[in-house]
Amino acid sequence: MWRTTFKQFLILIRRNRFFTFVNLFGISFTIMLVMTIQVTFESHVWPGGPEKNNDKMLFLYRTVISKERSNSIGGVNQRVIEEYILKMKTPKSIGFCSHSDWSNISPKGVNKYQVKMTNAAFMQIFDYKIIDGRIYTEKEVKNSSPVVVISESLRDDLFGKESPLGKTIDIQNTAFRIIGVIKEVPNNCKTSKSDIWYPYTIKKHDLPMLDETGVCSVVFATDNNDNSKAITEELRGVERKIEAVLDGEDVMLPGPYDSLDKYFAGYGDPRYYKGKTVNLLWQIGKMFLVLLVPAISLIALNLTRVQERSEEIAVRKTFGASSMGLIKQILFENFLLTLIGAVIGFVFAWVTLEFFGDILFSELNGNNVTINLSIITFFVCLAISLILSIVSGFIPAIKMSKLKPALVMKGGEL
Amino acid sequence: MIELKNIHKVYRTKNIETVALDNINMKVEEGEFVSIMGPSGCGKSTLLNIIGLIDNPTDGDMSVCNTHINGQKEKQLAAFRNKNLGFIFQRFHLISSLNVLDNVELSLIYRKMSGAKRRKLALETLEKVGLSHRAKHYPSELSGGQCQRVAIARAIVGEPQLILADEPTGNLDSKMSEEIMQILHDLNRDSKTTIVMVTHDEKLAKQTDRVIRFFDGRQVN
Repeated sequence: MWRTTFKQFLILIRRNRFFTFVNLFGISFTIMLVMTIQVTFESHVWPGGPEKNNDKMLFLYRTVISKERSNSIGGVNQRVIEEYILKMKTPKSIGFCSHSDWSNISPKGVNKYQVKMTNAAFMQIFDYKIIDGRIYTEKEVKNSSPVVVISESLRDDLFGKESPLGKTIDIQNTAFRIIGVIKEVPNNCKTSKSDIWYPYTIKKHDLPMLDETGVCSVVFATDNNDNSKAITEELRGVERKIEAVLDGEDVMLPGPYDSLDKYFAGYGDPRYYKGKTVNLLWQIGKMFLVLLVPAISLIALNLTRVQERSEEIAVRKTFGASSMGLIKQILFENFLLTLIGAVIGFVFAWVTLEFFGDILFSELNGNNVTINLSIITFFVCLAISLILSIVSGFIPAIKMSKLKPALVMKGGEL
Repeated sequence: MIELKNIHKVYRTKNIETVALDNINMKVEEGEFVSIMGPSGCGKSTLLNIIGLIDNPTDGDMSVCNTHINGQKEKQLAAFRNKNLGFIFQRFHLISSLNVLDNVELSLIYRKMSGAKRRKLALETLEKVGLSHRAKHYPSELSGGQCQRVAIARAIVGEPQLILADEPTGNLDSKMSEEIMQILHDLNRDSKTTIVMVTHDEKLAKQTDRVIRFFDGRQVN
């Protein structure tokens, strides 16, 4: 039966070319849209590069300190990190960093570079690809050794292709010895991305007070048993310990967030963050809205087609097709059409991301963004195709299955 | 084979009630070739559709192929039609997007049967109606007579006990009509298939075992 249905499907799409074109265009354009959204989403949440193992990381990058009606929201305070967070027992390791910029004035002009001041664990938690030299050690961090690791692009800007190891570079009024070069980090790896990394101990300054927010962010490495819950519990304990020292202030160290939470929570007020489930449902809801428009158009188109095929359906019913059998046939045909649309949509999405990725990822400087048309994307695309085909085919299929053969044979209306 | 008791069929719209069949009682024996005659709109086709289980009577009791039909579910009726009934229509009603062979196979695809067996049966049946050489052609490439022969092949491929033919020669010239009638007679004689045929043609009706006449939704003889 399915072979005949498939054969007939091929004939039908060839015969009614306008219908096929409109149908395929609607499906493929929608799937392209949804896939582009999905890929953009994935490139933020699972950016690959040094963050390819971010499913084994938790992030803490915000602090809220409240007293009566005043609130202060900022990054994590370095004193809190040194006196409390680094003493936590549950994380496999704890990395942290603060950020700044460095502008280099050269005959070519002014170039601005990102700087990260980190501990040694930060450099180890992320999967940086070292293309020359090494990263700094815990001992070098402890001894405040003026060593620096630079990115591939900074090396190219300053030294061309020759090895910069052992050379000195003057950054923010400190002379650093270059000890390593790291493969360029994609722009969508926001947490690990930098051009310059050096030990946080180099810059001497007084630690902030406990009731102040800071400028640091922390990354916890979880162990293989995924002890996220234990880390979260321990962090709640840290909050209580800090509150015990302070004079009536409430301290909130939101999270620690996994990559999905981090994406949804962003830099909004963490007190109002509803959690990833709510956000994910909201995201899926928006995607359904995007799908609803073509689905309605396809329903209308399919209903017209049902009218055209009423004689065939009447004959099939007369010769023994059950209503359920006909529903299955229509849904199968619709699914095949949607599948073709999905493949075209996949190609459209690839072309869009390849040629218009710079515009889509403009907030991340466009270039050097890892775009993964991954297996997850493919399956999401397949699932969407299936939903679209069921949604757009179901009502016409029901209408078709209710058709009265006797009426059609007489030449009556459906 | 067929027994109808007090069959009524009324079509109702908001304002009008039309009686299509009024208290029909009839029997058709196994192996009979019966024709139903009457003027247009007298209820012949409605009766055929009711016997063919593609329309429901408003009231009455019936058995087809010695099976009591009342109260059966849609799925059961579909399976029953597929196994026991064959239909031939005046306007052929072949599926234009399928070739001749696929059209003939149509009633078999709703049975549990391998594709190869279906194909073999369909080709054998096309051979019987003299159209095996047209198996790969589409209905639009055939003449009216050939289309009706394909429709007959489609109706008989599943070896039904009962064939319902609604003016099978209505769209054909006299020569073609004779050919089609010959096929139906052969089928009735050789396979003992019961045939109920609606026709306007007195000459063709006389060739059958019995003629049942209708007027204004009533049986008149």
